[in-house]
Parts: sequence; structure tokens; C-alpha cells
Amino acid sequence: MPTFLQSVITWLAAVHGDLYAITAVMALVWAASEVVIGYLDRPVRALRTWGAWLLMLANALFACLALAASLTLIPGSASAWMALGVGLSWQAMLRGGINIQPVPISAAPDVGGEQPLGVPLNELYARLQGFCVGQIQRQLVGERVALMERAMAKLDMADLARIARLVIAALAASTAEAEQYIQKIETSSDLSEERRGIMLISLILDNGGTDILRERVRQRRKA
Amino acid sequence: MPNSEDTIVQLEEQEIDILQALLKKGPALPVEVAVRTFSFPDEVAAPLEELEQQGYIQRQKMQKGEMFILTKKGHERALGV
Repeated sequence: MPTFLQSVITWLAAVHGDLYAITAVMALVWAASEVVIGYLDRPVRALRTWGAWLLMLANALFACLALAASLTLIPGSASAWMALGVGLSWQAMLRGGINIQPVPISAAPDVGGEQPLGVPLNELYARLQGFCVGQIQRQLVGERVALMERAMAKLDMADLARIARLVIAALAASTAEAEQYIQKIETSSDLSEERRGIMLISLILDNGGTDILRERVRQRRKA
Repeated sequence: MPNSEDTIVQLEEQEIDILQALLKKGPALPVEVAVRTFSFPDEVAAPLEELEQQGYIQRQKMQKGEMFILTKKGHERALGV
């Protein structure tokens, strides 16, 4: 075994790598669940984007830093329960912020009083999340545009209209309105053929027909 | 021939449709906004501009074209409809 790998394993054993793994996995799963909830119609594609990976890795990294701080501050506390506790409480803190100033006990709500002194972790996390969501959206739209280009190059109007009808019939709810819309696109004299093709492809992609369209393009390429 | 009041009502309905389409299916290219509301791209251009001016949506430039996303205000409006 190479010396470098041996030293990494020794280091991980010394610093409780298993505990960091528990906390990191919790953070990864937590961030992944946020991505999935945000993109229920295409969760796998969203998870494959680098924006999603950045969010998951940043979440895991900060959770591991929180665990390192906890293990340093409380000697002898290294256990799986500690890793689980830090993993869970860190996720809660990250979304709620940390208040480091004691709030005086009072029956009346604090109106116009001093703002409590706190670390706005929730705001920082919201910014990171916002950046990552922007990247996810850009990549997903970019993938759709790339598929549009491939479909336009390989499929003709009749093919696209047939796939659109198939997708609408199989997946979409408002079939009659969609059928009228497809006919309107096909017969429109105001639109160029390319424009009509783009609209039909958009209709297919927007109604969950991405895999069907990709498969049809692949078949055409092979033929 | 619709009078000006009818036109405003129709535009508002279309704007609401656009907001809800963006809320339901996420950010979209102009052609995708049109498709989601069963319209043609030219028909959604004015409502999109109006919604952008009102701060309900935001236009983001991309390498190939542009996409529209809901702002926080637009998100709240779409949820409130």
C-alpha cells in the first residue's frame, strides 16, 4: 500500500474519520433532500448538476468543521452519538441562525427594542443556497437548450408533433387544450418551421417527455 | 373589438397564468413560458415585460438566450392567487 494512503488512513483513524463520515453523510443527505424538494419534476437531473454538488459539499464541509470544533471544545466526547447530534443540530442552526446574546425573559413581545446580537448563519446559508440554485437552474436550462438543438437537427415537424401528442396523451392533464395548441402550432403561418419545431420540443420537454425525446434522437442518430 | 378595459383584464389573467407556470415548473426560457400558457412567444413578450417591470419576475442572461425566474415578490403573488 502506498505510504501516502497509509498516512491518510492513520490520520483518519486518529481524528475519528468515522465520526466525520457520519456527520458529512447527514449533511449531504440533508442538502440533497432540499434539492429534490426544489425540483420535484426532475430530481435526478437537478442532483447531477454541479450547483447541487457544491451545496451538498459545502454543507458537509461546514458540518465537519462544526464537529471538529465540538470535539476540540469537549475532550473525550468522540462518539457516534456526538457525530449524530452535531450533524442534526448544525442543520438546525444553519437554517435558524445562532443567537449569542441572552434574550431577557419578558411577557411582552420586543417591539422596537434592540436587535439580539447573533451570527446570521441562516442568511449566509440562504445566500449560498441562492447561488447554488442559480447554478442548478442555469445548467438545467442549458441542458434543455442543448437537447432542443439536437432534436431540431435530427427530427422533422411530423416526428415532433407525433411525440408531442404522445407525451400529452400519456402524461399531461389538459389533453384537449394541448391538442388544440399543437394544431395551432402546426398550422400557424406566422411562425417559421424552425420556430414551430422549437415550440413543439418545448411542449414535449415541459410535459415530462425529455427521456422520450432523447431516445427518439438517439434512434435517429443510429439509423 | 375589445375595449381597453377588457385588454387590461386579459393581460392580468395572462400575467397570473405566467406567474403560476413559473411557480409550478420553475424558471423558463421565453418559448417555454409561451408553451406553458398555451400561447405563442409574441403573445407573452408584453406580459413578461410588464411582470418584470412590476418586480414579479427577473430576467437572467444566459450563454444562449435568457430565462425568466420568479422573484420573492412574484413567488408570494403566485402563491396568493
